[in-house]
Amino acid sequence: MSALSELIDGAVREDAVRLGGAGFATDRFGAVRGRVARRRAARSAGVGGASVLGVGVLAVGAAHVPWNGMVFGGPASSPSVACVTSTPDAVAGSALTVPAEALFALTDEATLAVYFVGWRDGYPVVWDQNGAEVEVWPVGDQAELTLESGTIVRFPDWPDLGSIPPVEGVTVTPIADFVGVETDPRLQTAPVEGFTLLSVSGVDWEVNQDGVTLATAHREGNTTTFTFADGAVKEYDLEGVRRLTVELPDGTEAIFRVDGAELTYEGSLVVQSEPAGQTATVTCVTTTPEPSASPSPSLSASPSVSPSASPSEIAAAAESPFYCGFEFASDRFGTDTLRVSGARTTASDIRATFSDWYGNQAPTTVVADSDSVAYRAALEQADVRGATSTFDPASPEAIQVSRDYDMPSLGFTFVAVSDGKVVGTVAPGSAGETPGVAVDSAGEGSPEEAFLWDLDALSPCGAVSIEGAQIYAVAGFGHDGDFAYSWMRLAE
Amino acid sequence: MARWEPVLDEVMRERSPRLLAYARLLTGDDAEAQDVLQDALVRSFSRGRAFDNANLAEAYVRRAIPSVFIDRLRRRKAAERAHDRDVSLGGRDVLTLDRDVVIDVRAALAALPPQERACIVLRFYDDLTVPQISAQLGIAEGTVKRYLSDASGKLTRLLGEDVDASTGATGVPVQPAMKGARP
Repeated sequence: MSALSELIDGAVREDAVRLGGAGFATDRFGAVRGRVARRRAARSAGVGGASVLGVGVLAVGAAHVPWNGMVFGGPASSPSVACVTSTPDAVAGSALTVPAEALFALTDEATLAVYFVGWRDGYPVVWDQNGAEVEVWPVGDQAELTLESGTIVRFPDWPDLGSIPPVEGVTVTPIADFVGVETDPRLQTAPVEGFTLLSVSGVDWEVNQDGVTLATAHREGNTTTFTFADGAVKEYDLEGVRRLTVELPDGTEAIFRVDGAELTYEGSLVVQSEPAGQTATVTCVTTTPEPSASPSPSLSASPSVSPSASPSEIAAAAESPFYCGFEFASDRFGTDTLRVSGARTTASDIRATFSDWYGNQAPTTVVADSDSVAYRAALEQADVRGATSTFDPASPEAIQVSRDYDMPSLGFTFVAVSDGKVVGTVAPGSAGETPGVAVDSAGEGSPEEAFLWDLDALSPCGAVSIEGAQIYAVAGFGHDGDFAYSWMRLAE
Repeated sequence: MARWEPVLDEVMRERSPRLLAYARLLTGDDAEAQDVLQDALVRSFSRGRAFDNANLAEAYVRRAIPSVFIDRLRRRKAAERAHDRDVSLGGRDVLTLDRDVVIDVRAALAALPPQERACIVLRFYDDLTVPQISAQLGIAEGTVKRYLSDASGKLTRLLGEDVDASTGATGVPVQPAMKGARP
């Protein structure tokens, strides 16, 4: 008798030979490369390939995050939201290596192995307790991590930086609250008086409380079956498990150490598990773009003016056209290496372009097919390439992305200008949360383009009105610590 | 050139035959297999992760292929799905096909409805369990079991009793033990 699996395997081998050759690569490389490039560019600008509006709502507050704080969540994932954390002292002194980018600690309750989770460019990154990166696999629209015990943790592909869905058998802790396995109260056990685990044979045990048998346990291979006094049966796979948690009929949770064929009682959980569905969160606050008094590649740049500043503060000149208060000396500025051009257009024009680029996927679907006012700009140089976003290329976020991708940073956005000064800005890189702006290109050999189809995407700088303001397209390019800017007033 | 491009180039030049063959198992059609592989490549390389090497990238793409295949099915309208089934069956009912005609396992797989085919491929080629198939395709475990059961019966009738297409005989673990965690 042939096994179906063998027949299928043979068919695949035959087909691989038949389908060999360079045809597929020759015919499709350009198309694949172009689609990937556009999607990555859209992602860097904060526009999700699947849904512009689908970004999870984060915990927000009025707090203003100082730029010298630790800022997590690059512009690709949720640029206008920063999660400020610090490494707890208790962990800093332990043997664990806590990556600087970590937002959460995951403890595999079956092994007490610790994992750290952060996000990079809209995708979860996981490190083990030694700081080594662990593989995360894409599954559908999610990403999947398999812990040492075999327990699977799923992350949203386009993550809500504020939370990780609860997982049975996994303790999730915001990194700021993580105090280490040894001292985490949720993992601490204490022997219960009168509770014993009696070994009946090499593979059979009795769980007793004050001489009364609560359950019997039988192990067969990697599977251990607990049969309780009320007849209930629970089966556990012990492969990879060093610490077995068993919920008893009275609701308490007994912890058994697994060491080869041995099973020993460690104690019972002191603190009962969190209710199912409870989600660990980190504190995230909205931030607004900060003008850099002197654009610098330094991650600790200390800006002096913010879009939410008072009019008098806005009067202080910012030195980057991406920020409130910058004063334009001319309607247009550019060089042979970086020059912006653009014009007013309509939403339907932008929609038609998106339809050509993205088909019926976002962002096409969020642009109205109407004659409402919109703006469109492009770089004149098609060879200006980099990690694209709507951030100032000198901003810490853009520099971080630039480092991640090992490429220059390209910022492209729109600002509202009144009396020659920037009085309104788009929250940088926030197209995913502030629909109405996108940066992308038609693909290889095509210049980067910026689109503004919803003027509500522009936020006024403090109390200054942007009513009647002119719209400028602004681009910046950063490479090896050098930054160049270009702008153009777009015709009314 | 972005650093993902050389890896994409290598995967497409050197790994595409195997990936195409795998996609063809699911689609039953060369042209559609190319479309599925193209979408899987785009999906895998569009993510934030930068692949360090072609082996890792190939593994990601391979894993994305079934999801892409199912997603494409879902996007089609009911009428189109019905049409596809007619095409794949050559206009005949699967159970009335002459066994002599179905001498190739590919033809037998192509005679299955796409969802059943996907489950069979993941079970018998990728050696996944029911929960793993359920997770990968995003369909309920009960539905996976039903697809596997139905498909197994059809394949046995198409390929004959000499071929073991029994999901039970190959030990499909439909109710895995818990992984040391609270039930």
